[in-house]
Amino acid sequence: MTDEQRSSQPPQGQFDPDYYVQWQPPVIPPGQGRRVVRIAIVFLSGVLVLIALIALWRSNLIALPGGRGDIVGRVAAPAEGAVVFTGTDFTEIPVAADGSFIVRGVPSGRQILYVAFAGTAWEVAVDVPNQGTVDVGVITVQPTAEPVQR
Amino acid sequence: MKRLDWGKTGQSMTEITILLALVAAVAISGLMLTGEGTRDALCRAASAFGSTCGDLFRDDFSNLNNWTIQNGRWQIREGRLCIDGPGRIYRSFDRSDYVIDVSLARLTRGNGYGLFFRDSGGPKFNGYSFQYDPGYGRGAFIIRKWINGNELAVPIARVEAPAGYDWYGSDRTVRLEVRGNTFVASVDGQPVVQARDSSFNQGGIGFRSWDASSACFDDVSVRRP
Repeated sequence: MTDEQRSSQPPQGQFDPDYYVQWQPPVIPPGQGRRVVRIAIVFLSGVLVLIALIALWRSNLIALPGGRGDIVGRVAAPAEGAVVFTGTDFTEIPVAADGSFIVRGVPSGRQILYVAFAGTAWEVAVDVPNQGTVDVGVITVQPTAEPVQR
Repeated sequence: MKRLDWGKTGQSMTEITILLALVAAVAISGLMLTGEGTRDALCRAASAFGSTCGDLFRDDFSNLNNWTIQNGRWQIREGRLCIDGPGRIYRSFDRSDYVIDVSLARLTRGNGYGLFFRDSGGPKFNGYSFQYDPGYGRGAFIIRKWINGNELAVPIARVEAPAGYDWYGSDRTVRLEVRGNTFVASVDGQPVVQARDSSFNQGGIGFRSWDASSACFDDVSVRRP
């Protein structure tokens, strides 16, 4: 390619189709801009990875590689019908006639155990061990936890 | 497209393309992470030029076509949504952040009414509710969390109303600002209760009443924050 073809200006006084076919954007001289662009690429890649890590942490999926464990306990309720479930799996598990329950396969780490009875739920924070069982003891539920004028 | 060669001098098209893609990816993922959303950001920018794209939903209750009655005797009376006794009504939304405005909310009798937000819908729903609740203690404004259709026994926020507060018969405005993990409820323009919780990230809106309450609502709107 000749210098005339690389020129940023079209040939004076005439229309030359070859000029537009063979035109290429001007090359930035070595050392100008390229370093900045590469630094920007590395920086933005880092930001993107950071955002992905924050999203992973928020999604609670990061707890999954830690394994799973079981939660056992007993619910003391005024009548039958209480159920338990966790914040990671909302499948309700009815408690036994004596109030005992076991929730299997809960992701290890800090989890929330919910006990629901008559339309009201109570939450209990539980540290679930990896490949182990945690006993939360007796959870007492009452239909009105707060003094209510009804 | 040229292959990226870190050893050569001059600017490659590949690098420029990667840079532009990264800028776009960081901008979009950053907006999503903060709960903003690309469309919300564009809308906010457009609002500076007079655009009204912030409105997501508006209903003057000429009918109930936009709503799903979960339970209760919801009906339209004189152009208002009214309920006598316990009930729950729901409108789906696939959004995280919004501002709900109810231009008229009137409690005639009973223990109160509630306004659901980030409601996943259905009988086993998750979500939150702001409650105008004269029946709670000596009367309070509270924000509750709901899990699997059950209300948590202890509200996530509770502010007692001033002594002598006139709960009944007044036409009040209710605003609920839902942004990230922070929820602010206002009645008649005054913030009354604020809560923070990160359990549920998105969902629809709805109304509830309980016990022997009688309440009416009119002109609900949902807009981008």
